[in-house]
Amino acid sequence: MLKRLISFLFIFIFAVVIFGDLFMDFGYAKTCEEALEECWERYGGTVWGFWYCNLGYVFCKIYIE
Amino acid sequence: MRVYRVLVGVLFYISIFSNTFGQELAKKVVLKEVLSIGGEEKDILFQWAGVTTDLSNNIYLTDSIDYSIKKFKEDGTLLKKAGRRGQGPGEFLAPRLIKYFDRFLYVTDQNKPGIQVFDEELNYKESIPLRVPVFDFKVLSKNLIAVSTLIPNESSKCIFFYDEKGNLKDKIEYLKLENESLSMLSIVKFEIDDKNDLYIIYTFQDKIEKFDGKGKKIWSKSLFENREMKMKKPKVSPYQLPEEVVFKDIEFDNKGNIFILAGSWSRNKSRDIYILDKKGNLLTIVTLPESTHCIHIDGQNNLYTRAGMGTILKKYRIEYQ
Repeated sequence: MLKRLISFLFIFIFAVVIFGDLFMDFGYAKTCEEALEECWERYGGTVWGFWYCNLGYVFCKIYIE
Repeated sequence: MRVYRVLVGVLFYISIFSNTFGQELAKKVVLKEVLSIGGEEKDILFQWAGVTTDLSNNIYLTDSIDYSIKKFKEDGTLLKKAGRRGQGPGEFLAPRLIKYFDRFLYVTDQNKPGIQVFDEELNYKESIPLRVPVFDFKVLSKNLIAVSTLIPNESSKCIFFYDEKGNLKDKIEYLKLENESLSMLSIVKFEIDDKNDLYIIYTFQDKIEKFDGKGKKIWSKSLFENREMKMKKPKVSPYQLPEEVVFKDIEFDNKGNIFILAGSWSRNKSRDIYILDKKGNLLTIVTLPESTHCIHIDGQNNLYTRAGMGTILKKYRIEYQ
């Protein structure tokens, strides 16, 4: 149980810290699709990463289109 | 007896020819700009994302670029700014939605789970822990928050209801999926009215639906002849991606009309607001001068939208003709 908790926390904190800014430049340097692909490549292997990459894509599309 | 019959007749006539009691139908809507905050030459707003208002007409915004929430007076004067980059209490990585309810502000972050709560002076008060990423939410009472989320591999798509501690209290299923790859197509924004009826708009489908408080579907409507979404297969993904946003945001005015901001499929992309009555009838369309990602309507029927790629907030008085 403790091992699962530590593993979850590690993945979550790692994912949040690193891809926190991935979508910050949407509308300027990248398309939403490119940003999502980059996000998936880096973090799509984790459940949280996958969720947040997808959510970032949806926010990105809504914001810039 | 005759008077009684006449009264019954009049009431019958009204009930037949009026769509809804208590709803003032919008036949034509005109927007008059009353306030503009920010601008490229003014370092006030950098890329605002969410907007809400309180009962004193103060305006609150989230700003993605400087990781902050900002409070403005009704005349547009900046009163206070709070927040910085980080993962601690009162800090943000990508602040998004902000909602005012009963003297408190509820703020989401794209890259942090849960909802942070602030008072009207932007002091951090507490966090509501949620285990799902929040796409849209509505505070129904101090201890009940409705949330729309994006969870892969779930065949049942629901609006979830949590208490202030993050415990799941209830849910309303709005879609049952047979194919899980449709996951992103099923994401929705929503509103709940004072009768607890739920109105949802699909971000990537031409579908607007109404459910009662028990989850029974009342109606379903399309505005673009059920056009099919184009999907794109990215290089690294097993999933296909929807390419265009159909509906962006939903709000009520205080007359009982539903305002729906349409995306790419509308004639004026991200500028057309479709106004419906609560039976789903399209009443009129109003077009904004600039594209926006969201809309907010305050208690006095003022409409708030984006301009200048997020560096400007516009406030319009809604005039019904």
